[in-house]
Amino acid sequence: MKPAEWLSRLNRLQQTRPFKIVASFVIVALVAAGIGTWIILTRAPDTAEAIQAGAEAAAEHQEALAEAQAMMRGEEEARGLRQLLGASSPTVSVSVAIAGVGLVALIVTWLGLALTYLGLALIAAVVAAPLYAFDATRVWGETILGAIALTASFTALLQALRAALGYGHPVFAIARNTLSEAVRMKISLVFIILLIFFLAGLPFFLDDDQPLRYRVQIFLQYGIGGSFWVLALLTVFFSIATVAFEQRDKVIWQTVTKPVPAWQYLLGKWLGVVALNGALLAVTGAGVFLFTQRLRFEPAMGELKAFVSEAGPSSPSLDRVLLESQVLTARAASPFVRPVIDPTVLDGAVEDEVRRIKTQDPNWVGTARDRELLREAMVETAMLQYRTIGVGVGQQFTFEGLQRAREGGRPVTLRYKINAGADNPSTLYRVFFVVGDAVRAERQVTLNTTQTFELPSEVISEDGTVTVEVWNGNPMTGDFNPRPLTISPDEFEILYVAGGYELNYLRILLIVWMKLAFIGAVGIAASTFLSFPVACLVTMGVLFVAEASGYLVESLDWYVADTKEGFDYVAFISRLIAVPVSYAFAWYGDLDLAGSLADGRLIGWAPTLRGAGLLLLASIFILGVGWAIFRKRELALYSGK
Amino acid sequence: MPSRAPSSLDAPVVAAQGLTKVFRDFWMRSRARAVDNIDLQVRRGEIFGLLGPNGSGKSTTIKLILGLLHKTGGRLAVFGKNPSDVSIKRRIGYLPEESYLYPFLDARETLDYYAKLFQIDHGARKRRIDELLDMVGLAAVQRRQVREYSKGMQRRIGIAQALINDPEFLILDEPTTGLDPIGARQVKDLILDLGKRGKTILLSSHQLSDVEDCVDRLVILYGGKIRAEGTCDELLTAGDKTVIETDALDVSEVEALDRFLTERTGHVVHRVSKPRQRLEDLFLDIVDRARTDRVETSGAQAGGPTAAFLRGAESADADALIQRLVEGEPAPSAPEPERAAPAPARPAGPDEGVIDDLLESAKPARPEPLAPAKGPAAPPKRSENVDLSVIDSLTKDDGPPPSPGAEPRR
Repeated sequence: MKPAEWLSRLNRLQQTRPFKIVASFVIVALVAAGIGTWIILTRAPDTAEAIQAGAEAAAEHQEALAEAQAMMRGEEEARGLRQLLGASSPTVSVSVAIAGVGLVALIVTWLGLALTYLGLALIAAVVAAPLYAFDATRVWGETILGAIALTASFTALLQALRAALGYGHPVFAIARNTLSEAVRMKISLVFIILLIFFLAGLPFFLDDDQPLRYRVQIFLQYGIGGSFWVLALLTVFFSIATVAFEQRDKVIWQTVTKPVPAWQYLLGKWLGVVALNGALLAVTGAGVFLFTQRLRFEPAMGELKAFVSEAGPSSPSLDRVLLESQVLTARAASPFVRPVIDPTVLDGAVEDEVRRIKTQDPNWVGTARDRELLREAMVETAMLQYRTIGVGVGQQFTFEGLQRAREGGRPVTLRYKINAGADNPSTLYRVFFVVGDAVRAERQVTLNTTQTFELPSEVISEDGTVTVEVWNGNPMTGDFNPRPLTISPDEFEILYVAGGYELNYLRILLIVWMKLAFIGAVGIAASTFLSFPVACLVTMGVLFVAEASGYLVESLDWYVADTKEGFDYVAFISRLIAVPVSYAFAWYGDLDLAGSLADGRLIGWAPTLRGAGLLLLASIFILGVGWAIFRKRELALYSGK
Repeated sequence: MPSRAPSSLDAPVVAAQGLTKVFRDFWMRSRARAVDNIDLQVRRGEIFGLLGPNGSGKSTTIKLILGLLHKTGGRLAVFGKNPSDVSIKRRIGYLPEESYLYPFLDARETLDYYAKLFQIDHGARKRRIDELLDMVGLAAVQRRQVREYSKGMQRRIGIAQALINDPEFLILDEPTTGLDPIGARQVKDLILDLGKRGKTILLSSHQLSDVEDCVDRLVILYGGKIRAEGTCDELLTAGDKTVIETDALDVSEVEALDRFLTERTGHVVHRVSKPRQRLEDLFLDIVDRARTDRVETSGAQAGGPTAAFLRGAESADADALIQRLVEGEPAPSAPEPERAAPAPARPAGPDEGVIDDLLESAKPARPEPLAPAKGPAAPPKRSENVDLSVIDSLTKDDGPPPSPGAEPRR
């Protein structure tokens, strides 16, 4: 018998009820034996001593971690960490662990994957473990182990999903069938394998010489971002193939000649694609999260080991502090308060300007639109002047809404970026900060580069405001810069910890999942009336435009038809198409959140649910368009050729 | 094949009036008139044949009935409703001309999927799938993916999925394509079986013998138009000829018979020949014997009996069993697998009185293909293989014809 036939037989065997029953008994027996053996061992004198010594060492390390957590993230987080790490005695811990493994084994068995997992464990033991044992090949060993873990998780999730979709309703039947197609057809299997190896191999492209916080940021950004793009491409090709190929191969005839309305067919297909993405995202998300945690427990720059600073427990390393307070956290932002311009004064200034222009050009009409443009230009100029600080001069900026930061008692971060016209960007500019009575500090910063500046929570007043004086140069020493400097408006803010990184991460995954659902809906709708290659082209186009919409909207403000050199017809026609399309997807562009995660920015539930809701509504709308087309199709006419 | 009256006087299952389908190109120019103003009805409980050469409009007509195409003109109703109406699909089973199945599913998963589309509950689903797999002979290979099946095996699973919902109206497009003669015979027996249960069947096939054996009525299409319509008897029986089958006769007996007929009726014997067994029957006999001798094979297994749910047997058996248990009688032994009777004989034609004169009794016989009459009737001539002495002896006695049941004169 060929190996493939053997595997097929084993696969069928592990799904039979008698096998599952027998395997369950075996697992329960092994768990009982394991726990019993451990209890006996702990009672043996030598073993008990060794266990106790190990437990004490672990407890010391856990306490060091907790102390560091308390210093960087607050007592509440430290308490949680103590609870997590120092839960109970070694005997109970190991027994619970054995029981946990047994429970997982039972679940896997009843999902029909017992032999699959045994096979994967065998590969891990025979192939990965020997590679891991040697330094030269450890990288490969870890990659294979990571790939095995991801594969095992994915197969279990998929099986659970198929069981959940096992109800005898057409929508669920079609969704379940779509899931089966995904794992049994090559087109999607390639992407799934690519994703697994991409994630498993990504950690090994991180530069160990870089600060830990940068490595974590890079891993988060590429882990989530890279996974999204692989999954997005998989979604494009698979969502289209599952509908287009059925029409091309006439398999769809057997379905539509059954009592299945068109909307149920499309909904079932979409649900299958969404479920597949959910399973893959859960696995990759878990993988990225767990590896991030693993990275977190590596020594940062300036540490002897994780959370143990070279300078002593009271002086944690800067790398560790920034990692815990700026990356693996969720920070809200309070931008500086813009000055309020009196409308009456503004109107007066606009009219003055209109009179001045008419004096120079009597033919100028001065329409309402012209006045509006003048008003906008004046406001912009006023704001620019507000943010521009002359040589040797200081400017006061106020930040509000920081009560929560004051209550948290944790340091806040002032984030800023300065420009100085046409100066060499590598030039260092001297900036002096005065914040209340507590902070007076000089910084030498490079131009056009985002900088951060830690402030103690004590600088926040009772009403939640912070006033920051920014000086061009150092008034204390008289060292001033050669030119006025301008503070970038969008990057001048105070950031404070407003939540946990874990929930932030979950919200990001939810948005990513809904984005993939939207792409899937576009693919399915396109394939109701387009052939496979054309539908792929259209859907990829939507994907790229949607992802780039934020950039496009900004760029189109500068790409105008009316230029000094004359009327640019190409720009005019391009804008006719690009402007409505990019604005149609502007809401999608606002949902680019992977960068926020790496920057430790809070993504609250309100914007998350709003974004997810918008994506869901858009998906339903697109599917509705597909349904309206599909129900009128003469399916026997179209062959996709 | 005797024509059977429809089992009820209800409205027809399919009613088409002036049905037309014109295929147009992208610019809406008319390119092909596939179905041209046809009127047809498929009555409840009948087996209806749809014949025609390639491109005659058979498949187009079927696709219009199923809603896979939209008509250009005329009227078309299936169960009194628009063919696109989803509710009527519950009552229809469809086997397309090719097996368009999901290659990545195995047989059981395929049937399970389609059963779920009908929202059949779990218990009934499992039962029907087991019975259908047995019926089509795929139980042993049910866990193999469809992509690994031969064409014949794929047709079998196609037949099974067409029956999963126990449809009232079954549309079979080339059902025996790809099947060996055993499988083809089983399909024909199944069709007849289902017909007896009152199912309405629309059968389209190029295998004319299959159609002839099964259908009650048929139409023959050409160029999108109906060229002939009626029962097999109406269309195929040559009213001007009679075929008589007897035990082997020698030349003299044939000559005597010829003389008798000429004297009594003025008719002559045009042709005398030895009857031939059909190749299909020979094939089946050989296979049956091989199976009896338990010769090994790695191919498809013999199909089982018609699935119980299609026979309506399961509920009847259960009721009977309960009745017996309540009354205290021992439960009956398992019934023998029911096999459909072979196709019944062609009915006796005209001139029955003359035949009764000659023959003692008529034995049921398989229909013989009639030799088509070509040109004027050839003058009677003696067959070289005939025993003339017998025929001569027959013609010596000019007495009254014997009564039916009497021994033939020798």
